[in-house]
Amino acid sequence: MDFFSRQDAARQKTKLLVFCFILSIVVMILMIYAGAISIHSFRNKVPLQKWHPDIFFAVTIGTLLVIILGSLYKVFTLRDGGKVIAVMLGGQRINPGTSKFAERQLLNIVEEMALASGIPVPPVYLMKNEDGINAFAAGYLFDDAAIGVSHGALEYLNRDELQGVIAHEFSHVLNGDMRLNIRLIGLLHGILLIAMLGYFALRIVGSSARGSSRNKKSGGGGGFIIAILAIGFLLIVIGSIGQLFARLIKAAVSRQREFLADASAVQFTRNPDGIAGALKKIGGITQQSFLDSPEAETVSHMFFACGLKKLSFGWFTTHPPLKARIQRIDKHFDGKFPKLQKVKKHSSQQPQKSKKSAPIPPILPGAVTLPGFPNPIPLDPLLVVAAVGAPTAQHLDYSKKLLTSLPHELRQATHDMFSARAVVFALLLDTDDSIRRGQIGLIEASEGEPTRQETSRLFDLVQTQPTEYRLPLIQMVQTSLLSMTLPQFEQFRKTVNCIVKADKQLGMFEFVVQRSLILQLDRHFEKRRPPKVNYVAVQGIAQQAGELLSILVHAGHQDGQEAQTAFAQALSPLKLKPTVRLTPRKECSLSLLKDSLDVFVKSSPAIKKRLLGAAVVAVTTDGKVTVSEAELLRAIADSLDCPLPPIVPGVTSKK
Amino acid sequence: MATLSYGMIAVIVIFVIILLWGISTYNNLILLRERYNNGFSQIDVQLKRRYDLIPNLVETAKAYMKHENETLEAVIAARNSAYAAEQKVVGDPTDPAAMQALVSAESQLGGVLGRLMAVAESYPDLKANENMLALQEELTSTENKVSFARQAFNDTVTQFNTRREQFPAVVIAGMLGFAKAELFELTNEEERQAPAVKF
Repeated sequence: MDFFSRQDAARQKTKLLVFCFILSIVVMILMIYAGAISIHSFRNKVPLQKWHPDIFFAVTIGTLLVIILGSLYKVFTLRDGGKVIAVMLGGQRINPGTSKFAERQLLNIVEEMALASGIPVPPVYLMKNEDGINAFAAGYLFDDAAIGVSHGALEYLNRDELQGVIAHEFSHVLNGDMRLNIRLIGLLHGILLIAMLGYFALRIVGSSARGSSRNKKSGGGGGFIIAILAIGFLLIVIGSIGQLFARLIKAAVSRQREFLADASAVQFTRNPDGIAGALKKIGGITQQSFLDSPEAETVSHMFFACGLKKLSFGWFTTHPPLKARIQRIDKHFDGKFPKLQKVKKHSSQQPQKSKKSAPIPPILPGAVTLPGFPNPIPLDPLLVVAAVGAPTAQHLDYSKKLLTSLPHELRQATHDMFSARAVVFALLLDTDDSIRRGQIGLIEASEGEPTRQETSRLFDLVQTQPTEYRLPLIQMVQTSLLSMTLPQFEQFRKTVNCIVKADKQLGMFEFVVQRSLILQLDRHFEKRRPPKVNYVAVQGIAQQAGELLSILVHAGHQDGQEAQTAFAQALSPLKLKPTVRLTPRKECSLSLLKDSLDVFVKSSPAIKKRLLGAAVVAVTTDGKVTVSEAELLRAIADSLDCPLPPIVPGVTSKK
Repeated sequence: MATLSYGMIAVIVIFVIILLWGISTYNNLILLRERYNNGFSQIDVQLKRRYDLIPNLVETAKAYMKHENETLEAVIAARNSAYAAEQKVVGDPTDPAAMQALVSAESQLGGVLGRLMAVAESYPDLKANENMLALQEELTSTENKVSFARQAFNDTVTQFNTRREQFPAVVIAGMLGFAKAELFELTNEEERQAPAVKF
């Protein structure tokens, strides 16, 4: 099962979920109806009659209205993505520039994993008041994900264990579980509301009854109050039964995905001891993984381990038992959890290397070039597509190496929003002196003198780095840029546009910045949702597919005849009608590429997979890939909402 | 019975809307509050960096400015009181009194630092010192970061305060104790670096 089929599966699950949900609503309506006619016959002292159309319609409309309102409301409040949930659970964003060791370590782990999976570095939230060991990932897509970690997890876990937990969360992010999770919250909130209404009705009647008993109202009013009381009770009872359904659905959906996420985490980190160790530690402390936040119930299915004490067993638990989870990873586990002390975190603490894990090559501190990154590197299109959404330990090692060999000053610059902007500007500056002078002038005019200075300083640093660093830097600055306010972002976007336009032509890397960074920031600041799936058959977008591939082919081949052959090769897996021809070179432009990508965003995962495969072939008919070709691939993958891990020598080549 | 049922539905729907509105306003306020807390943490990282730099700066300057002990001590004192004020705000960023104290301590620190720099102008050896140059550069760059982060912070605070004071939200804000947030506004640059000559 690859990334694309998992995305499809997640979508299928959503459908099943909606079906279960509708079923429980129907049952609830019938129950409320039964209750209503009983109250009706009791109050009017008439024999029980099964069919009252007016009562039936009133009950149906009322129940539906409440549930729909409740669900819509919840989905509406969650439209901002993961950070809303993080804040709801009492999370506080960890500043990317933090100097506290434990926080720094956590952010480093997240940064490494984000680079390895090809997604922007997500913001990390700390749940300060939670002493249990737990974590979650929330959001709609990769670009608005937020990672939350409890204070207990930071306190008790060592680096390897924390890495295991974060890898588990990343696999939820990459498997498309998050969107499903958010929808689940929305749907279930509607049902929850029915019971809440019941309590509300009782409260109101309770307080008004006390008032009316003083006033001695007429007997009819008393009857009315009794009816409301009865309805209130009814709503509570039925709402609670509905909640029972809801919990069952939620738990069933959640449980089966946890094993998968555990397995992916092991594959990702190549270290079974990390995640197993974390699970054992959860069993070893009294607070376990339980959370105190009253909101934990709503999002219980999002956590790393069971967050609710009262629902931690049987059909209602959202997570399989700890013992079973550990035993799938570590066969020798006997079910005895060690009692444990808090880990003292010092900067000198060495991560505990496990015996079982494969040896990791030593990291060269301060190395300027990446060892073993020839340019161009060999590449197998099939492996590239297979790696989408399924990063491996090699990708993680590569990203770690990359991060440690990045100059400290440059890495630090990505951690605060003032310098992060300057990093982007510096990356966009032209190597031609006269153009660059113009661009620097533009920066000074629109962003002011201090930003210009910072940009010049960073440009000198960026210049000395190999081009492989450009993409990771773009991913790293994103999390800092999220802290800007809307006016600051608008200014930033304007400046980026000016710099890009200054050299009168759109370069490949400039295109990448606009497609990957600006597009994703746009979604965050303008609260735009990713588009819906419109195309499920590749024939419907054959023309655009031809254009896209033509552009890629021309980008890599000067020769007309070679281009024709490459185009034919790239096109063949798409099985398009032979009417699709190579677009002439002079008609190809990046704006055409942009237009065709805008169409492909709306296609189904299956089409995206084939397109990405074809794009890889088009770029690399010679079996090799250069840095700028890799950047172009990333821009395309990002436009298609596919997390493409970095292209790593050895992992992506045929042996 | 039918009219009663429909009347009931209307009542229920209104209740639901009020309930949802209440929860949503509350959540919105929480979110905005987190946003300005995050804004403060952006400033805070840079302030801490500055508090670490200043003693080094004073140490370096000491060797050259034998006769300016008073100014140097004033810088250290201002740095210490700003540091103490910052610690209080970190403890509770929503406390307006603590924020006000930090703002005034920071303004003061900016003032004495400016004075130190002005005095340093008359010590050419100090001005040429590598260490001093590096520290000054670092200080300026930190200052720039603070001012960018401050702009973001003040934007988010204003957003929170506006939302808090709008009519229906003000009820919830009052009930649940959302205090008005304080802006981080230093006395402006011109005032700080007192102009030397006036005719």
